[in-house]
Amino acid sequence: MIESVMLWVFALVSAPLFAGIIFKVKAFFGGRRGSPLLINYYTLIKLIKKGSVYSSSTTFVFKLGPVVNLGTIVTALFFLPIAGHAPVLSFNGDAIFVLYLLGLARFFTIAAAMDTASPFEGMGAAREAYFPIICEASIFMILILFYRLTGDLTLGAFLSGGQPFGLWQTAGPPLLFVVIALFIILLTENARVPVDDPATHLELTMIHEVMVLDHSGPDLAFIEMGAFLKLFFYSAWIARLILPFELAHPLLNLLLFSAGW
Amino acid sequence: MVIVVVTVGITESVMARYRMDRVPKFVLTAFALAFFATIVTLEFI
Repeated sequence: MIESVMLWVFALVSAPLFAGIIFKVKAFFGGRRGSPLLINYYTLIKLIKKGSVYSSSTTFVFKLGPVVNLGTIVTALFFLPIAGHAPVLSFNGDAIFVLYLLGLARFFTIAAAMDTASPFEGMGAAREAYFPIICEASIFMILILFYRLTGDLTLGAFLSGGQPFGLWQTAGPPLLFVVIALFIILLTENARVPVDDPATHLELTMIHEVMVLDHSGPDLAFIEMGAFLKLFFYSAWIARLILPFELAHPLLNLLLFSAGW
Repeated sequence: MVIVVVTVGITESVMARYRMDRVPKFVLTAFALAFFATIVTLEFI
């Protein structure tokens, strides 16, 4: 139990670092030095030190959005087996519960965007509501596959211990499709290129970014942290499937899971 | 984890953002793959 909680803390602490690696890779391919690896930590600290600005047209829903967003993804991580270790919490059907938690986060982000009464944010909210519907259908299809293979509906049963290796032995080729599907879902859910471009601020290229334009200070920090954790959630899922090996020591498992080489 | 985020970084480096009308088709590819994987599994296992 202690190890599970420590791995959960590891997820919370390391999530901004993994998001920072993406910046570094993009800079490398662009021929630039790029921002430091810890840039996301600096950004979070900077935002938390600032104060939030609220429009007079917003209500408590606008303030509730970022808090619920971060709270739900932190809760979802309780159910995720990290580095093959058993999750902190688990019950039969938790895989569906986690999906609905992520849906709740999305609902409140959309509600907060609509609360600003800005048509620009409404446009982003409509797109945010549309694309993840297809993602959810894909994830439910993947859950059906996993349920068929394991006879269980818990993330712990899918991804902890030697189970992923067994899944590859039982249904290797279909699992390859699942990994590709999960990668596309990761790109969509985390608003990455080619679905969305988090670096731009043009109305034609924005889905997720447009919804958070009016947030500032600690609220924006919550949203950013929620996005890092969401990226961690989906990456951990894929990482566990592509590296299903289990080493003798938990620390070695964590190293294998994090480095992934 | 590093493999996954590096792959995301490479994808972002080599691809441009899709036009908005192409995005649903891209996301539907994920559904098609998952659906096909499930059907294959239901049939043979």
